[in-house]
Amino acid sequence: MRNFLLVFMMVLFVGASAFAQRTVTGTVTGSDNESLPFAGIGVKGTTVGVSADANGKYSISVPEGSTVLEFTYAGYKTEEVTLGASNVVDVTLKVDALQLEEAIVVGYGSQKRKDVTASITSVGGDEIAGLPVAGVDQALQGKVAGLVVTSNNGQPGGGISVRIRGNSSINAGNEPLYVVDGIPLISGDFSQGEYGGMDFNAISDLNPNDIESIQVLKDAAASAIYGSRGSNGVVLITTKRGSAGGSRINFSASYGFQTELKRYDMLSGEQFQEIHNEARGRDFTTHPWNGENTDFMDLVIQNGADAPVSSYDLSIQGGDLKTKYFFGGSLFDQSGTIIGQKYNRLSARLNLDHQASEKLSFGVSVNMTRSKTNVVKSDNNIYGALSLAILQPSNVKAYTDDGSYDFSGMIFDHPVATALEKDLNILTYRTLGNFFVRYNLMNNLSFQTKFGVDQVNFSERNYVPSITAEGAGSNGAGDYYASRATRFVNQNTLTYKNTFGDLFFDALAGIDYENYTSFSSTMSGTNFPSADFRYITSAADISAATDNETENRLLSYYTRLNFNLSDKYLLAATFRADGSSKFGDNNKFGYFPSVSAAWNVSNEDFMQDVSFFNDLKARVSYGITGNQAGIGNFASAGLAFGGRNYGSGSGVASTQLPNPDLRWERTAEFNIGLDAAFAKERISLSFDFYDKNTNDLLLDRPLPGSSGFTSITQNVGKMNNTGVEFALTTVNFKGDFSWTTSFQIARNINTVVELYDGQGFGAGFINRIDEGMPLGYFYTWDVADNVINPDNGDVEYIDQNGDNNITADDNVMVGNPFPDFTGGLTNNLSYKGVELSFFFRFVSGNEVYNATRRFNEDGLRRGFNNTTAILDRWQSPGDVTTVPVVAGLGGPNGGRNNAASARFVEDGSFIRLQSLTLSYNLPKDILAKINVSNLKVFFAGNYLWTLSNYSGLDPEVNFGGTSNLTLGSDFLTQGLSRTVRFGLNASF
Amino acid sequence: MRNNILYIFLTLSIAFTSCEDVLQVSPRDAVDASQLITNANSAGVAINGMYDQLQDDDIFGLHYMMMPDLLSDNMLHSGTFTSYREMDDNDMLAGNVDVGTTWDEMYEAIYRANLIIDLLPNVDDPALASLKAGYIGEAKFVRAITYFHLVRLFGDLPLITTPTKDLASVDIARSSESDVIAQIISDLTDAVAGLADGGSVTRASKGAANAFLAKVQLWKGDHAAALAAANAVTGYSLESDYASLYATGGGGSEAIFRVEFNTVDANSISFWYWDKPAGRHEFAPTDDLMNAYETGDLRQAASYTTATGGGGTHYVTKYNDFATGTDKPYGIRYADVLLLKAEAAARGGDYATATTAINEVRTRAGLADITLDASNFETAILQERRVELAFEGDRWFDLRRTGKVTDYLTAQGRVADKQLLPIPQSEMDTNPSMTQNTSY
Repeated sequence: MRNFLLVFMMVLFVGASAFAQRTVTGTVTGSDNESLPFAGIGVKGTTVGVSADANGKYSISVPEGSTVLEFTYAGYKTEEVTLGASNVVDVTLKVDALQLEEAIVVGYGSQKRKDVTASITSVGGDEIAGLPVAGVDQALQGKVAGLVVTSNNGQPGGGISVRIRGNSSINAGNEPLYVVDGIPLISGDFSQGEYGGMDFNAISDLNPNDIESIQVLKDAAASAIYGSRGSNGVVLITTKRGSAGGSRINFSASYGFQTELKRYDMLSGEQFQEIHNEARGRDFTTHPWNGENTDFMDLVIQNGADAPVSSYDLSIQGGDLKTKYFFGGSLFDQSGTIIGQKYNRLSARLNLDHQASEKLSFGVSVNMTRSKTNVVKSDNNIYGALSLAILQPSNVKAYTDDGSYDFSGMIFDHPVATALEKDLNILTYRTLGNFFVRYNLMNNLSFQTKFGVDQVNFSERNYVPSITAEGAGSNGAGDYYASRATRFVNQNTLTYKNTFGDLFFDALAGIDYENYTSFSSTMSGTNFPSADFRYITSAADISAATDNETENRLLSYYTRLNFNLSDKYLLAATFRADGSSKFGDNNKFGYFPSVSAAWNVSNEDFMQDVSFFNDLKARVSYGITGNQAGIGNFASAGLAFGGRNYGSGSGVASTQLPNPDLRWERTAEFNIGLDAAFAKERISLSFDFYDKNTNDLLLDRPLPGSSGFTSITQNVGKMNNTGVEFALTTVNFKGDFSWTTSFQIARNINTVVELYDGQGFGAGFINRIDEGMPLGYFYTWDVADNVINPDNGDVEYIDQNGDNNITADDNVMVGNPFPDFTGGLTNNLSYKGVELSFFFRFVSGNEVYNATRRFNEDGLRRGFNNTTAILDRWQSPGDVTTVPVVAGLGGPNGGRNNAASARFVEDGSFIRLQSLTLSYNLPKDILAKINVSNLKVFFAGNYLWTLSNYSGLDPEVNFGGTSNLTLGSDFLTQGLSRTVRFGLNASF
Repeated sequence: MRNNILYIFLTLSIAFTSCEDVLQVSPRDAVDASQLITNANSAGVAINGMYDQLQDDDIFGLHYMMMPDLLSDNMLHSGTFTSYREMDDNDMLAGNVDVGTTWDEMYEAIYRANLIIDLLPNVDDPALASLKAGYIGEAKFVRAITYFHLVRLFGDLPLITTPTKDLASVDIARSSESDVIAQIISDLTDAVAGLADGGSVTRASKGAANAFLAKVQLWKGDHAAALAAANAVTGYSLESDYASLYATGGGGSEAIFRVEFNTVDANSISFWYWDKPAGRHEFAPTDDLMNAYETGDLRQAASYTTATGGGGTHYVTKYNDFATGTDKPYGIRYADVLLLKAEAAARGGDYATATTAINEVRTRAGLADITLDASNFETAILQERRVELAFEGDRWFDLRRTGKVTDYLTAQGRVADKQLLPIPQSEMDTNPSMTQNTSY
């Protein structure tokens, strides 16, 4: 590898020399004689370049000795004009059909859409810009067949689960690799605090308005070039860059309101007392209702104008032949529907390209982001505002007569004080940038080296004042967590393109080096003077302090070859060798090949008479990808770690068994697909079938605890994902009134094929992992059809083994957290300047475990408030209901009526009006008078309507966050928000 | 100029990508396990690392003291965790998560002790010569008390005395309870020989080894050996104020072995007991225990809240460093030794010694003397142990040792066979040589 790089060093090039000048003027027009404003004019072979004015007129000084001018305009063919005697040159440019043909970004390069042999779905930047969501990932919901995006809870800026073609891993990551302008992005949750299942996603630091396009690489042919990180698919994000022409300014703004999707209907104080007396509560006595009734849900939820969301974005782009720029800034601000929740992001970007000479060009991208999140814990936490509001009995006062918090009746803590008096602030600074140099060695051969850095500076401040119950015991408690993750990347690629008769050939070879370091520290203090002192400096006791750093490195060699014979037969092959510092000594390098082929049937001679088809392409691919996300940086070594201290003495203990064979998970994927466009391209469709077999799953092989270890990470399991994806776009009407419909649907079947020694295991509440079953299926007691025994009001569990005893042996599969189908349906209609688009998303056939109901329908056995569902309880023999008898602690049936069972497993299917946008483009003739080229005003709504049988707040949420295993479980989790917004887009 | 730029970049690129040595990265804060002990300093550090495991929530961080009282008639479950409810009900599933982690974490403590016992004899450092016997004694003490707790909870155990180094030997079958007890006695005997008297009560000492030896011998039924071991516990005395044992900085001359916690290395024991809303109040004293205190017993008010507070609940107050989490739970203290001595003596027919010993404990509690004889000693000592050592992790074992546990389970309408905990499902699933206890 070293040698061929050295070759480049010997390649020199000749700089341009300057001579005396002449001035040439003229006008640049397009094919219909309209002037081309800000067209680029350059002197060939020099760095001299200017741009035309708004009317296409230009003036350029041409050095003596130069005789050729180049005229460029986006979407038009570049025209070269040899200068004659005249100093006036008017040029008419022709539309470039080839340029208009969609080019898409692929790993380490780009390809024409029709030359693609792999399964790749593109999403344009305009489809995701301006949505009222923090992250790009959430904006992709329902847009791509085979891409399932789940919002885990309603906290603004909160974590999102993204799965491409199912879950291929148990313990390694299942999130795709994100690559921004070629640089693999740091993703994941840096939060060190405990928020239940609330994750924070580093992807949300990217401003969706900066994005030009997103490509989702789905099959191995597309993602194998990313080697040991390709198994979960790859999301390539390309940011906007400048193009030649005068400066164009784009401004967009929107403002809107949010509303909770749904609210639990809790018992009133009087109803609570009634049920309490029936159950005779914790203290086995009855009491009359004290007359108090507080709606705690209402106290912690904010809606409408109290929960605004706003977004402002300004960008400027332009440039000339030599230098092009795009820069901009944005502000996104979102409140949550729980009091105190807030997310705020400021970002700035500069993308600059410079052509230093015909052969040498440079480019730079810099993105800086600051995001602030005010978190109010919601789910799976007894100190969450929403969980407290759900659980807190309603027959107590929230405030004393003088308006201060009344803690006296609080079960754990005061819901409102929890939201407003505690601090949980997350601050992230993100710098993402790259710098590249490209040099054309020969006509067809170019070399590029790129240096990239992604750095996340993440800090969290947590403070619990002593006036709250949570902070009373410790007299106030504070934490400060800081993390800094840095990825440094150097990529060197050589690309070659040539045509040999009917054969087009395109090759890529490259070497990458990556280094990832991550630093984290924590400090915690207790015993604060008062709530006026919230920093650890003021804490009397420093209870914890940690500081550590870790690193991993990756060295990769890769190549790709594309062959295109007569635009009919396409063949592509990729290969990557990944060496990782994480792998065990016996497996330092992993090898990831792929091969794919496509047949453009519509280009065959025999199809030329078949006018019905505009495009018909069959694709097939096979490849190997890897996943190394689950391997700890030093997981293969047998290590003794520090920090095992005792008293004032430092201690070290061996806590990890060695595994020198440790390596990546290996996924072999077969894909077959078909792309077709017909009826004058009014109808286009795409179909894919895939079979994805993952071997060498990284499993924590459980060890007998008696060995002193509970597990060791080994490559032992197998998993299969098989699925189909179908996308259809139809142009229903064209012309003044246009109507386009796109529909996409996907089905993925996940099966755990092999586990260590066939040993299944449980996860989350009732999730389970077993061979032959879908990952994390629900496994618990099933209940009889009538649910409740009408004679005694007890839940009738099914005694599967007939031993007259309901035990763990009676657990069965009662549901699957994975949907049968996911998809979306988008309609875009426009008439003159009015546009209407609405987008439905659906998920069908999955189950959700509603663990919340185990608590808020428990018949008050824990002393928590219940929903009004409990009013349907069994009360006397003969009652037919699905809610068991209420009985206090230690009451009938030993509390088993409240046990986890199929009773709490619900249908999670839903169809949702994900977004609806109505916009109006003001007429251009009016705008021209105020020097505005485009102005669009819009109304947009999100999550406006949901159809679901799910009884909880939102079937989409998951208290397990982005966990691979704790799937489809709702536990006191905050639902998402309905949003309505108004806004405008203007360009000048 | 441009050429130079290109050169610079190419040189940089080559520097980064030309050498596969870049894939060798060393961990920042760790050493290879085989290098755990290389000299006197690292031996001391490894010993600390062993004690560290005793601080785990599943050992002295809560379970060691909590479980035997929750299983018995001393404490009830007043919280929400099903795993603890099952313990209170004496009706645990094998999958009970807290039974599982207790097993795992205690065996991890045994592993850490085993590794030291394995590595230390082969380390050649002159500075270590005078320390080796003591260090090995400490490791054997930790191994012994951990096995002793496990064997009383689970019965027959995999008896592992060498550290696990690879996956070749991770399916060890159970040895009989008597073999385990024999190993414990052997370890404690070695510890007595290797350890010195005195020193920090948060580390093993000769006195601590003898005190545990007395307890083990009594469990085994060898009252003469128990008496001898109890008599060998010297240099300790009862604190005059029972309540001071549980106050910050208390324990003084009575503590024999307890586990260290400080603000940096804190526990959350008191959080589990403390009343809501600040605490979890997961456990509460039973009426039966509250009624077991004789009138005027000074220990009652020091053990739990006798006054009904705002929540109307009683809660355990022996662990009360709520703000800092620095309660240092007792592994064994002198009052326990006196009561072991009383019982060992009485079982040997020496009621005079027994009476003196029990009355020393009663006097401190503000109670009148009693006289032990053949007819009353068993009940009287069991009662005295109950109130003296409430919430300190003895009651269930005392009930089992004296055969009273069947009465208790029967009276509660529970399965009388379930006197041992189930072998955790995780162990059953992973260790093909493992067998389950009866009734599970």
